[in-house]
Amino acid sequence: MRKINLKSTEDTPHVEYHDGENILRISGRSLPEDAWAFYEPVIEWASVYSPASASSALVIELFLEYFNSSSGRYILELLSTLEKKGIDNVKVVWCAEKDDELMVEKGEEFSSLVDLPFEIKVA
Amino acid sequence: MKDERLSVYALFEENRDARLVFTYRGPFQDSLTERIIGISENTLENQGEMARANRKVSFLIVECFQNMLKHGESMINLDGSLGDRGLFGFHSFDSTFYINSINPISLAEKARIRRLVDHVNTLSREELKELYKEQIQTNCLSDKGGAGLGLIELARKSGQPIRYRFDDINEKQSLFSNQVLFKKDINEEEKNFVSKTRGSYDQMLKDGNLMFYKGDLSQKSILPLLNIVELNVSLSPQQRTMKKVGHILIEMLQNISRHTPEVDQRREGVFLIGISPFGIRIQSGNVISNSVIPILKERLDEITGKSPEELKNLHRLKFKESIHMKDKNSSGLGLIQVAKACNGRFIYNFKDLGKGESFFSFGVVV
Repeated sequence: MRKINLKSTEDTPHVEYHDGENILRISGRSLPEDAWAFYEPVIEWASVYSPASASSALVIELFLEYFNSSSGRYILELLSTLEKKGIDNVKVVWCAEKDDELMVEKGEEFSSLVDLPFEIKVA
Repeated sequence: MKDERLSVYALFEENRDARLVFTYRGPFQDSLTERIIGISENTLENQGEMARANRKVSFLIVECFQNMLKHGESMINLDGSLGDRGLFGFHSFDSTFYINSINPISLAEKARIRRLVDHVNTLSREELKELYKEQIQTNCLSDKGGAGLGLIELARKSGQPIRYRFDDINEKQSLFSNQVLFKKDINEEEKNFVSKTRGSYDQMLKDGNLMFYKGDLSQKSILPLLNIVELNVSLSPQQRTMKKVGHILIEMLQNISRHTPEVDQRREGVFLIGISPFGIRIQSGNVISNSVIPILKERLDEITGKSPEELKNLHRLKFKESIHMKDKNSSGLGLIQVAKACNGRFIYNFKDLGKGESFFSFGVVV
């Protein structure tokens, strides 16, 4: 699978995927004005993802400090893309800080909207 | 919520001519310096001659803020406990930048500072330079590291007299309000904000407001504001609530940014954060065209009078639908998300400004 390594900026998150560990990590702030421009390549990556080339389960690890509503829309689209592919071996890990009640609630909402194994980790 | 009032319109009106207004009542900490400069730097032009002038403005902001941090005291309350530490802020007009600060000082310091500022204000540029050198050489510094030196530097770099006033607040302290300004156009008439800022400070104390901003709210200006709120989150004993404030603020400000027409590459709006009897208050406001009011009202009606559970369900439904929307850059979820995050505790108002425009105020309590 194609590697992804988008460095974080003041308003966009760090996005990273290495096929060795088969984890797609998205972390930091996600507040871009044009969320589609930012997430389009990530969604494109998900649409061509093939579990055949991976030796372990795909993990989507999301640890977002803040995200705006339009980023939320495309993160949901990313997860829905993987859901629609009907891959068995995929899991979402949603991380939130313990004081971040709203981020935990958002994780619960995502979990209720996609039919994928979903773990909410509170650190 | 019925007793909660929207005050952003009054503040917008009061500061209508200003290009940028920022007032902050704490908490104060050294790490704020850079974040506060971020606000001014993002708003000011940074090209050519203006870049040089704006570097001076940044220098003055740092010096004023650090002076306040080093030499300001906390107000001593009637019961002996420590209270407010004052206010720091700035007003920017086309070519003049005003920096105002207010902080309690001991009565013993009052006479010394008054003498020094009065003296500094009479000196020429050359004389100020001499005095500065003299102060360094004779090491005539206060034990905290030189309130005198800081004031001399401010007068030197600003090239204008320092305006000030003192108001005794108890048997031990006086409030020192001062103004430093920087003129990019020497012919522009000087304003005096010392008394006005003093009045704003009293009003902020009375209303419980902690931070007010009027200016550009495009993305590049929102980020430094968020950085200040974020620092407040880390300093606050109410981390849980403050974290929520950060989330809501982003959505409110980006909503303004998205729905305010751009004029001269700026999308102007106002916002404030404060403490109300009901929780933490966040209010925002912007000028909108009357033509968008019907659609905005429709969206507001959709979220008004809903219970937290109903809002949660509405958001869930719209969120799920959003991925099928054709418009790539508007999810229409912002307001619902805000209403859900504050459990439906929001108020709003439209104020007709004439000429086909209105001022839209929106406030929440978290």
